[in-house]
Amino acid sequence: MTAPTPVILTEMELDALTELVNLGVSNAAHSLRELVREEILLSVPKVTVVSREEAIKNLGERDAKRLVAVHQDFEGDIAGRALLIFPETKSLELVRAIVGSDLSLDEIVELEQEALAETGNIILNACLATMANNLGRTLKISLPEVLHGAGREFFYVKPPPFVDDNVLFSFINFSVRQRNITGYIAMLLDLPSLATLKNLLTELIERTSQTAAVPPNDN
Amino acid sequence: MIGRNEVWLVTYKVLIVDDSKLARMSVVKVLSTLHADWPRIEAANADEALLQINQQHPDFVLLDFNMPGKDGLAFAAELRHQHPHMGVALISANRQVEVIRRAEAAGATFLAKPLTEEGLREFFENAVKKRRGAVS
Amino acid sequence: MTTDERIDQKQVLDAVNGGLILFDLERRVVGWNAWMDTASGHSEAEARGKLLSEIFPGADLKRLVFAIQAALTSRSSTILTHALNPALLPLKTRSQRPLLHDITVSAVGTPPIKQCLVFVNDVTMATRRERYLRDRQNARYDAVVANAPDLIITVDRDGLVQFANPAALSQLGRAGGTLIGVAAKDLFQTKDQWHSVLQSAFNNSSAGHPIDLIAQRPDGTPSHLEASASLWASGANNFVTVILRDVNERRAISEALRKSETDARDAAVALSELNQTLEQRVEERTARMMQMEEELRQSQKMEAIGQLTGGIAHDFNNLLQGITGSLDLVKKRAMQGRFNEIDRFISGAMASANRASALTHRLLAFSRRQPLAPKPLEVNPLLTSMEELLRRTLGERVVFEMVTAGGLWLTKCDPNQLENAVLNLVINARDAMPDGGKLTVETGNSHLDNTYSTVHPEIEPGQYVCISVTDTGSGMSAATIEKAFEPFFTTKPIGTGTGLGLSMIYGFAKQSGGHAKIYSELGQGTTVKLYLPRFRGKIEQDELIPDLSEIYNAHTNETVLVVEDEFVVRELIVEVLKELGYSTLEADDGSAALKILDSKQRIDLVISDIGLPGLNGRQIIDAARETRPSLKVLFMTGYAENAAIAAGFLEPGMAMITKPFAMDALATRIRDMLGK
Repeated sequence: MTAPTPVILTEMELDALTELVNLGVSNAAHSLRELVREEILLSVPKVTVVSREEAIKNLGERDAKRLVAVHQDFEGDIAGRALLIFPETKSLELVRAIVGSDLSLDEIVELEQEALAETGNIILNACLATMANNLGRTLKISLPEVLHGAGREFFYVKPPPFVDDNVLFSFINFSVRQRNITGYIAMLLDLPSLATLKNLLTELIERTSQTAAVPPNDN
Repeated sequence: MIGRNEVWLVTYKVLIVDDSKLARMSVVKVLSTLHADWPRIEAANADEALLQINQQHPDFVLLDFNMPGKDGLAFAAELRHQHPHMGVALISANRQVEVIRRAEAAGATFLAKPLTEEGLREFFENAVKKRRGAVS
Repeated sequence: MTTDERIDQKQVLDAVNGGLILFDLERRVVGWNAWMDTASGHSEAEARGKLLSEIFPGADLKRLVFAIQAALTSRSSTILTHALNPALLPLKTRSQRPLLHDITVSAVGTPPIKQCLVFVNDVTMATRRERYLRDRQNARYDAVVANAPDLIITVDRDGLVQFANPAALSQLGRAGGTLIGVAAKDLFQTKDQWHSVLQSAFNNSSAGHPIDLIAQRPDGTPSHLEASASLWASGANNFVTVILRDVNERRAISEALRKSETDARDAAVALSELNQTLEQRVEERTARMMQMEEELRQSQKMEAIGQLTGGIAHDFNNLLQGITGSLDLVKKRAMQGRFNEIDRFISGAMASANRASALTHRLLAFSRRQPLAPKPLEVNPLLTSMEELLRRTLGERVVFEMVTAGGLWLTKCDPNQLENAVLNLVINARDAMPDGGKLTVETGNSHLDNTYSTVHPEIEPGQYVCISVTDTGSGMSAATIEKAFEPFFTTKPIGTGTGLGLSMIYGFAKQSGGHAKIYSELGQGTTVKLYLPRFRGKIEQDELIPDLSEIYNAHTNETVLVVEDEFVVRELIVEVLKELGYSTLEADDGSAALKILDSKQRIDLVISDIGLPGLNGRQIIDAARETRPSLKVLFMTGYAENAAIAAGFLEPGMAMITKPFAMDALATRIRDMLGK
């Protein structure tokens, strides 16, 4: 059995993917505002495609750090798992950012699960839906689940089994109520999905570069 | 209202600033639909944009809100000081009311992403009117 | 699906212990289950075909509607928890209490999506129970923590503050009023100690005894605290709660004790040093002050002189004219034999001469450097004797009036200073009336009682002689009045006033045990009142100038030598002597005088000018007294200074008389000296 040909996304395709994810999180910010009732700024600097090991490494050099993740699975023309990951210590800060600082520590701790679930739900839904929409597809997206643990656990948890090793990875910057929190967004895709993604991105780029006429350029 | 296929007597130069090439392409697409004959220049960030402004002297600048380094909002505020007659639009998918207000406070028009023909057309019309008012 | 199957389906759905709502593409309800009937209070039949906003008007459905739309458009699933969304749908439990619920929204079927499903999950029981437990816990915990005087903070694994009790907030709280999210190490100056406290706590290996830390209050001052920390877990999170006991007071007290000891020692040393230098400094300062006072007084006098000389010189001329003119006429009349008319002219000449004499006395008094020599005096005669001078000073455009009270008490002060003061006041008044006006000088007895003293605490209640000078000039503003007595304060243009006059007057009044006060109104005028304390003694009678009619006859053969270089004066004196019946000898300088004195000629008295060319009068007499040890001499001098100096070494048998003098005065002196 021959090894599957690796799918490489070009610079332009990664650029397009980043733009899509940014569009997604911007929409998410808008929705999140409904929940938080204050201005939210969300941004994704750059999406890269890395192996799982690389992704785990990117989650933090300090191994002792525990993480919390919200994950949603999706299926359709592209299938996989999307994750929103924060360092465990940041999660409380995130919760405070969402619900405000009036609550006691106990209350915050209790709310943590719900707050993470809903927040992750909003962000991931927006990302996936926007992506799908722009690529001309729909995805069935599951409800969120909150996990605590190490990165390894997030990327290797079954089901569904991912044989392949492609992680769309990015930092995500979260700004609300004068707090700044940096987390991670990751998307695990199997190989066929990645290939499909690549095709869809190409189509998108082509569509976008079609213009009515060729303009003169002053250079 | 100037129709889609009407020919404007004057062409205006437009600078498009966004770190995403796809986003720039998308804007260009809309722009060409409206005014295919208008010359356009692109920049990937605020520094490049500044360079282009000083060299090419565009009439309008379409800025992405979210850019690495100096973000669109800060840049828009700068442009207002240095080039008060330049029409500036801030483009963002983040259409929260605070964002819109801050864009306007910086002297820029807020345009939602993805850019629509109507949105862009309205921006140009208003901006041209303002220019004419200011210059005359 | 058959009708039966649908009914079975419906029964299954109705058996579900939760709400199920099906929506179509337009977000209208397709149907819902029995649970929803009960919880919403609406039957399925009512809800069918309606939008949620129609079934539940007034509910905040934004998020739910958005979720439904997202499910329909992009097949996404959404969760809305009660924890974050307290009021999703207005649902009630069977006992009509609010039904707390979570909602999930998902798309139904495969694309193209036509329906979405909303599932409502009752979480009332779970929520209530949690809340109850928490409240109970909290109540106990909060009671302790909130009221604890100790600072209690909880930090997470990252060292960020997750909780701070009121005591901590008030002592360490920064701007913004919260410590949540702050890196705890930023609150401490002793960061290493803090770090070790935290580390050992997270490692569950606490020191077992409190650790000393120094925190930094928001204003930058240090706060000494004792810390004890313990680890606890909540869910998947580990926290450390640190109790910080405030030991600032304890420290402060021991510090204070130590410091007060040192301070006491230092103070003792400083004090002894100070004492030594203090006396010396006081002396120096007093000497300086006295000197300054003198200079002030002197310069102020000079100013007054400057004011006077112009007018005075003019007046002197007039007076001399009066004298010479009168004498001229006397001569004429005598030659004409009209002796009965002479008397008038002689009186006139005398009067002028007297006035001129008075003027010179005044001038001399001003230029004299004399220390304050208070003596009992009557103010009215002093002022009256000044009247001429004052009138001259005021000029013609000012109406002058002097009102002296009868029965005026005596006072004790330096008469020169008093004249000085009055003159200065009059000059000020004149300057305030450049276009003329009225000036009144008044005297009166004044009783300053306790009430007055209350308002003016610097003055003792009692009986005073009040001298007031009132003008109708421009007046002073309240601000000017306040500063008027200050040295160097002047409202006159530069160069026209030293600004010292009023301060000298004030100083004089004070030194005499009295007081000075200004009353003024802008545009109306000013009154300055001098209060001098009443003197309850008797005045020594001044030497009375004897009556003209008394004629002192000379004894036979009494011979007087007159030594005077001025011919006219010499002749005058000789004439007087002859009239008095004395034999006279004359000399016009020292050597001539000595020739006479060397002879055996009987000389009972020498009347000699002091300021002679060649040998001065004093030298002559000293020489003469070698052969005539008891020679009596009456010195004449025109310079008060010399008089003062001469008065220092007058020996018995010597006397002095100041020119110009009245002939009567001369006669009296002679008689006194020769003994009657």
